[in-house]
Amino acid sequence: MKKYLICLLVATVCTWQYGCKKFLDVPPVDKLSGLTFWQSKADVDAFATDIYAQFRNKLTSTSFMPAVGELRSGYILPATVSNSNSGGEKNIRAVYSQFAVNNLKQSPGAVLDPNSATGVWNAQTYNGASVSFANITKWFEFYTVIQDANIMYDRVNKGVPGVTGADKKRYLAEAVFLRCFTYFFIVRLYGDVTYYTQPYQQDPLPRTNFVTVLNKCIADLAAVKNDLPLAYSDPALLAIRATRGAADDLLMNMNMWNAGFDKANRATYYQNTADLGAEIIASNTYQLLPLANFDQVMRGRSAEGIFEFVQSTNYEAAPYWRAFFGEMMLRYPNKGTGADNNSSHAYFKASYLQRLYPAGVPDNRLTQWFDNTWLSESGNFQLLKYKGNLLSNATGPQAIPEWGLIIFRYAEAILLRAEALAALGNDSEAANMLNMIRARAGAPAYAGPGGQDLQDAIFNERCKELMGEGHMYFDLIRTGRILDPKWTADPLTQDQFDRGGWTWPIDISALYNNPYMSLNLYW
Amino acid sequence: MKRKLLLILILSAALVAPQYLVAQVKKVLVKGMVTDKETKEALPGTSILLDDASPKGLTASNAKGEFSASVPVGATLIFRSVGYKEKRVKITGAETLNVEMITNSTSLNEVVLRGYVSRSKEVTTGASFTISGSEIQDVPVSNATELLQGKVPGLNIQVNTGAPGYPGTILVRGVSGINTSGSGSESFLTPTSPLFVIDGIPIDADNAADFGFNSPGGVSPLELIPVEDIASIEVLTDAQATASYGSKGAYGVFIIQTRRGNSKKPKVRYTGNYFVTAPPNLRTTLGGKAERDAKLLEILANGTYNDLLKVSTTPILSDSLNAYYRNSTNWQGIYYVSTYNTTHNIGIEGGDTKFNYSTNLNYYAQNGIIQNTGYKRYTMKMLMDYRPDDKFHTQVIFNVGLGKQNNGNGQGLLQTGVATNASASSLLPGPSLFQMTSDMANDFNVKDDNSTKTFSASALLGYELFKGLNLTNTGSYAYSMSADEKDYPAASSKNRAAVYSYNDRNANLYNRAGFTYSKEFRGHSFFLQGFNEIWAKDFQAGYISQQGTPSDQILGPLGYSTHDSRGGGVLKSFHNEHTLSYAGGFTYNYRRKYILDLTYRLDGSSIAGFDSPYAKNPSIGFRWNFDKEKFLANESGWLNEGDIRLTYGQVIRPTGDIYSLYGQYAPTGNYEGSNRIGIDNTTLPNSVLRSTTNTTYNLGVDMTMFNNKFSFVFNTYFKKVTNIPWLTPVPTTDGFSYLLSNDASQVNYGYELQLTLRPLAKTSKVQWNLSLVGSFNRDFLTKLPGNKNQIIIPPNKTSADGIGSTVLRAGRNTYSYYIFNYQGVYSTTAQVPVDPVTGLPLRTKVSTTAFFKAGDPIWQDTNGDYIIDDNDRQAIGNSQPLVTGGLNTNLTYKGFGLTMNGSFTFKRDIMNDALASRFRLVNNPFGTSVYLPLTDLNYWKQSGDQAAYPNPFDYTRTGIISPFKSEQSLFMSNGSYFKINNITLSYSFDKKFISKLGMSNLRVYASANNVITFSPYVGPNPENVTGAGWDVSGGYPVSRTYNIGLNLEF
Repeated sequence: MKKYLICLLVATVCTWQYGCKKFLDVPPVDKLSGLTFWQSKADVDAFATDIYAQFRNKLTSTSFMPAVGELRSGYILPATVSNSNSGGEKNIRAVYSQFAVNNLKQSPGAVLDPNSATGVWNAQTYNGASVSFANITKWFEFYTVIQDANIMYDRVNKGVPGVTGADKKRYLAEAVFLRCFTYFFIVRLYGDVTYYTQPYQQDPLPRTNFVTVLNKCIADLAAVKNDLPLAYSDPALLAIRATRGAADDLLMNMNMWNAGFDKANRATYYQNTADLGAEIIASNTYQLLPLANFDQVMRGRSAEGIFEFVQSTNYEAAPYWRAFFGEMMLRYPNKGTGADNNSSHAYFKASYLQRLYPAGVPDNRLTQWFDNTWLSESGNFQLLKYKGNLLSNATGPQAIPEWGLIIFRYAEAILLRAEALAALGNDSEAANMLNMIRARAGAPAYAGPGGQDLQDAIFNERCKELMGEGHMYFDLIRTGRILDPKWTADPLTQDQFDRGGWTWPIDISALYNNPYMSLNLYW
Repeated sequence: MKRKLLLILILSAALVAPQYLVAQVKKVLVKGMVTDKETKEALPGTSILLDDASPKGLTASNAKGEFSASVPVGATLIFRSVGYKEKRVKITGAETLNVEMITNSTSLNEVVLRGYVSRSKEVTTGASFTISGSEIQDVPVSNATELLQGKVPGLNIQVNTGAPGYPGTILVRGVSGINTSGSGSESFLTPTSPLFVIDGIPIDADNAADFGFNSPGGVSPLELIPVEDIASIEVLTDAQATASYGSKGAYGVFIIQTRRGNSKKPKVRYTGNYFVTAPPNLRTTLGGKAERDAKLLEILANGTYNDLLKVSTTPILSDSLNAYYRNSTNWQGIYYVSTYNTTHNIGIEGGDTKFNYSTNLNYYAQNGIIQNTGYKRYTMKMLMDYRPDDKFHTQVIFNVGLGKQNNGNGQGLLQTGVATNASASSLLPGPSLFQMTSDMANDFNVKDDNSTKTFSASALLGYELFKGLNLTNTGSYAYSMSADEKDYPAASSKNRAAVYSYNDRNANLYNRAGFTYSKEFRGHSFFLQGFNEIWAKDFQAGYISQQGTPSDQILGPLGYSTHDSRGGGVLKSFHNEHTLSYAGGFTYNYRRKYILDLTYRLDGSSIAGFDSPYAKNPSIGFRWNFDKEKFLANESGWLNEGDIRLTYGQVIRPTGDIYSLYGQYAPTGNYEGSNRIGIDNTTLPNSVLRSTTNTTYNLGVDMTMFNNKFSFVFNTYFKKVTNIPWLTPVPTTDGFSYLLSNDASQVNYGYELQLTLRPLAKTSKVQWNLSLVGSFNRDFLTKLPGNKNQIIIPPNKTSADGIGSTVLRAGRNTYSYYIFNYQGVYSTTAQVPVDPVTGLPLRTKVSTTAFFKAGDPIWQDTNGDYIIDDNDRQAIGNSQPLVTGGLNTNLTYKGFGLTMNGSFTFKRDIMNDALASRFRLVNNPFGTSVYLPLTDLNYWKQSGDQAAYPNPFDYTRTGIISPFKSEQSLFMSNGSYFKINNITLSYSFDKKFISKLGMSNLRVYASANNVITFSPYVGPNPENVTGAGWDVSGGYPVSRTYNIGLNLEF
């Protein structure tokens, strides 16, 4: 009897058990969970795309690239002619004068002070979101990119159906690239940052010395960079997704940054940079486009681009126009009509331009990127490098050419290699690099002596070639030239520099829920 | 598999069959009568069974209580009748048998339901209390659980809203969570509702909260059960009792059984109630000239020169001849009114143990005491129960219900708009054809039709495969639809009529299959049970909101318009969940003396994630029925029953879903033509999320003594809730904003006592029952997420002062107030402390010159910086009551009955925001708010006064000091109360007399509900506060009810 009873029970339980797993497997129809996502190559691709777009959105959340890479050099000032209309561009740009004296936070009327006369910018919104410069002090969005990249690495590494072999390696390398790129970016903004590579990091962490952070990134990325393709077969992805060239260029930049701070090991960093630069050139993937076609370069996805973020009205809504450097340096007819556009909103100091382009030295950049009002400081100045196609009938401040946010490009990589070689004492090869750029610009080959002169010449060349692309201020910092009034209108003292005067303030929200966190002392 | 199963079935059938082939023995005829031992009345419908391996029904007593049966000599007859103890008589030969049945009045012989199976209470170990339906049926209320207030130890019910159709708060053994919603004085504890099992089908009682607490959307299924149809409610309080109900029973289980038929002759029962609901005492206000004078006097005494000038430009103060400004309107009288209501209930029931049925029709309508609010209910139930023989059993139940709630202009529990409008200046004219402000139009003319229609059907099939082994299967399907239509007339919404239309659907498919097996030999009894439950739940809600409908009368059709649409679509509350559970139980007892009870349950959910889809709930219990020990057995009856119970149980409730475990992904647009799908960076996936665990230890003693004259039930428990979820903000470097952490934990311990006294002999003409119920509960927060010391809640919302006013602090009671410590009034300006460093007096943060002066409150400067700001707040008080309980008495004499129920709450701190707002009303003499007289309060008037309250009339202080902010201990009051819930006086007519009228029962009664509250509290009602302890002036006042009712039975 008991035996049967047990049999019966077992039988009943078995029938219950049948299909249980299935019963509990209810695919949600309203959203995806981490269980139902990560099921195909398309999922990984969509996720990676989202990370790039998140980064791009951060860079367009205010006038990000100009603010961090250009304005603090002190050479860019607001045009004071009466060009204010309803948008009040004159008042909005008044804040540039505070950038020019590195007054981000300390004295009244600082860049980040929303209540001052120069704080008009910070009160602006675009599509309902604040475009205040305070967005730069908030690193949350950068860390979302880092977390997401870590999650991507973790999930791809655990296995995604249909992603195997080279594909899997490529996506893993791409995740590493995204993480390292973000660290490189925020190290230049905030100095020491919290470093982690774990997915779903939740415990609070202290800040890590930035040289260490970059060294870890260099090691991580160098290990996987060869898993990245040289180029994608899909032309739509040209220069906007991680490639071996982008990884090489990022590694060069990280090495050069550390060379400026970790002086004991600088030779290694320079050597690495020189080697990586050689690799880029040898890959034969990129080319220097003729100056006449320069609008293609600045629009993005050109043969010269190595890594860029783009935003096109063909696919998405119009981006925040003030996020782009070129916007403030153009006026009608290179911008659309409108009271605001009759003059440009900012200019480069005439003395600075005259230093870069000494009289009598031919340079096609002077003739093609500037017009005869190039020394004007009253709203007539134009940086025609950013000239491009306009939408027909475009009006108002948004009627601007379409630009990419050019992070790395071939000319930049060549000049970086030149700089590294010159620092290593390989003057002839350094001059060769420099002359590649000068040749494209129709300028005479460098004929000066080596050593410091050559290094200065390379620096000047970067100022000229990369004007407005967000490298200037970082070059000043890593080369130490920020301390020298000869190279900047806004020099720091050694003491200010050591205390972190070159960094950005960090928003106080970083302290929340993290007992190990500290803000930047200087600010 | 199927073939094997079939084989086993045939085999077992073959094994059982021979038992029927018992050899025939000599039979004799037994005749007799069955009567009630006490009343000596005949008992019709008593089943008479022949005791055998499986007792077989022979016959039943007729209408006169008589029976006759042919019985084998030497056999034993079993007499069974509902409500009476079973009686066994051994037949020795032909005889006339007079059987006297004894009522089953003692609690220990009750039959209780455990794990969906009827068990004798004697052999269960968990703590539970049963209330019979007849104890709660003379008071018309929309929600039956309200009537359990003060009747069940361990159950704390606070009727904290008078809104018809809204339940109060129900807490079993203290608070079990740390989450709240809303902010400041409008903060509510996130409901932790018990599981309701109605006729064997578990019900999600939190349905109405699906779209968010205190918001439109449906009527709770609890509101659709008519009190008249309830046969019994059993409340399970400890984890041993609830463990077999799994995760959903983590906060207690209510088992509600509806009525069944039990009479050969069909019975028709009618119950009608005619009742008046009256608003409570409204506050006294200054009317007309008195109000204007008070305001002018205040300005003259405290105002600046500019204020004096302003009087002449403020017509409500200066233009006393203007007809618009010289009224004396009683606004409260316009908004709060008495209403007349009725309920009708018809029940038809009949049948016997073989076949019985019951049908119940109910109509309930209650207009709220606030204009334009109310609740209506129409329900119908049909139940059929069929047992053709002892092996087969089937039961089918249908329920149809319609609940209609009218919220007026308010939303759910709050009627903030009404509260504001009802405190308009009395000088303004009342509403008339020509005078209708949009606020008023809102309150009176918004058409709100919030209805829920439910349909449910359930079927039970049972089969006894062989003696001791029963198989049952119960399935149900319940479907409900809610629609909330709010129509705003043009006058109330900027001259454009508007519509808000919400609708949802909710489907529940439920099935339970199980077996029970019991076996007894030589005093050893074994009981084995197993069942599995599947549950498929589907919910979707959506709404459409549009302005500019054609007119007040023509409201549709609605569509989408870029200009007029105000949102809509499917709401986030959409969910589709499957759960699957297995439960098993084993009970062993030795001669019903020593009992061991074990249960185990696995709960799986489709949203719990695949790594750990099953939550495990074990429990264990021991019981010693010491009254059955020889050394205690005696005939004198000093001890009738006695036992000791010791239990341990764990109930686990999954906290997260797959989104909190694995992250939520959604399309985010495109980037350069490529699709983007990103993770939602709001909540960090927490892969180590554990389930909330309720662990309870319970020790109980039950004793009945002195011929059942005195009995008590005592329980003491220790309840630990660990892994409580909390949405913790995380460092910005995490790249996510929040983490659903679950390392908070909390402890409750307490004592519960139920004393019952029946002092008079059973033969006495007067019968008196008295029972006292008391529960003492203390709760402590033992750990907060991330080992934090304190969390101020609500964490995201901000009060007027900037931060939340409730604090969770480890080591203290769960919910403390986070307020300023009030220490009196500065009698003179010289008393204000002066900062020795700066030489400046104490000030607030408002400005550098916001100094305190005489007549201002003394708030403790906790951090000693001579600035009173949010840093000076302290954790003070406990918003949860320490002692709750009730007192119930029942007196009968012949046909008369007098029942009285009281309930009490002691040691509770509540925030008297009503008093605070009364003071605040006088701080704007230029405004159009009413003035309440403050003459009864000892406030500061002049320098040197030793007063209890700061100076309310210096309105210039409001902006800089804000002396009457709610968030201070000045307004923290003792919320203790004793309330007489209801008094019922009834008379049952003599049966002989009414039988001539063709009736079998006629009873009339008068009752009053919410009669009177005794309390030291100076606010309106210490019970009418939110779960978090705030007396909200925008809340819905609890009404008083006077009722005349009639029970009629044919």
